[in-house]
Amino acid sequence: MAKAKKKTGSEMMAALASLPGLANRPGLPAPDSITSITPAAPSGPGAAFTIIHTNELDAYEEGAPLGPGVVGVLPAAPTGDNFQGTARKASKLSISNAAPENFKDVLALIKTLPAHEKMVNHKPKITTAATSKRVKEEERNIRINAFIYAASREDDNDFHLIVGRSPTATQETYMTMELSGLPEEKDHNPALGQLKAARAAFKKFFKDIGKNPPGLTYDFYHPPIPVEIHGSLFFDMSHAKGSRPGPPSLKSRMPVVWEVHPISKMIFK
Amino acid sequence: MKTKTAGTKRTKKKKPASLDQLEPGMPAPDSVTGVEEVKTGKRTFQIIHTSEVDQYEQVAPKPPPKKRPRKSQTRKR
Repeated sequence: MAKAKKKTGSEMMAALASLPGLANRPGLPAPDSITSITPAAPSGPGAAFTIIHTNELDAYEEGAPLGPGVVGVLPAAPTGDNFQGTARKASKLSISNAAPENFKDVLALIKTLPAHEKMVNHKPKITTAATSKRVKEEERNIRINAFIYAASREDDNDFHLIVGRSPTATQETYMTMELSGLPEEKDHNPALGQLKAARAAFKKFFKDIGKNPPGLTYDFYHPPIPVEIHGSLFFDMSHAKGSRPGPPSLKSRMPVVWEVHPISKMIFK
Repeated sequence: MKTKTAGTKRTKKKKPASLDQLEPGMPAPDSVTGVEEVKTGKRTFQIIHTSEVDQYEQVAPKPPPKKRPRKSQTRKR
């Protein structure tokens, strides 16, 4: 059998996608849990299988990473509505000027996104500095009909929405869309009004049903909540390598670290 | 003997039998910490609270303090 070829974390998605029949096969592990791939042997008994090696363990195993059902020590929950992070702050708190593109669902949008490796090796380099502005590929606005399956509030005060296709769609696919924490009034950010309105629409939905918006851990919604989302595209350079965003239960069906970030408008249906 | 604590409410977050884990987009069963049923207009849906977080948000819990080996009180034979 061919020897396992070591690949770095960000190369795994590309490696998986290149294997015949594996790109969208159900039952695949989360991309960032893959440690190596042993390709099918040219002949013999090993020809029938590709072995995908992972670092996944049963949660009860000694040394298992923290996973579903095991919450580590979480940072304190953020207060107020202001953005409390720094990574790519300039992009997260701005809305592209591009004309909006309509997409029928998340999968249709994902198919138009530049490849992960291209963005990781982007020239000029995409940095995670607070001043890091949108690059050309991110200068897009989208409008999409989708469903919120899960959401959490991050310590930078962004709401992470795990947005997917219709629950009746044959291929489950999700991506992250974020309601940014707000820029401070004193910064006179031109996006403030839209960011504030989008965030208020999300909070109002929960207020109207007498429930709290999500906290640091993910809440899931069943059936998923139908929404129309408008926003700008964003490549999450901070998590392009290593652990990817998303709740462990859905991560294996989140093929990109591209996000809609910030959400500029949200309509609950 | 059971005592009631004044001012505290028993949580309503129970895992209802109707939670269908086989539906797409559901969390892993052992991450579910509670379920609330919500009515909004004509629709009814469930908010399923979990212990799931983005992996990079997690900080490993402190390891338990190491036990010092006890001085042997048993007689050596």
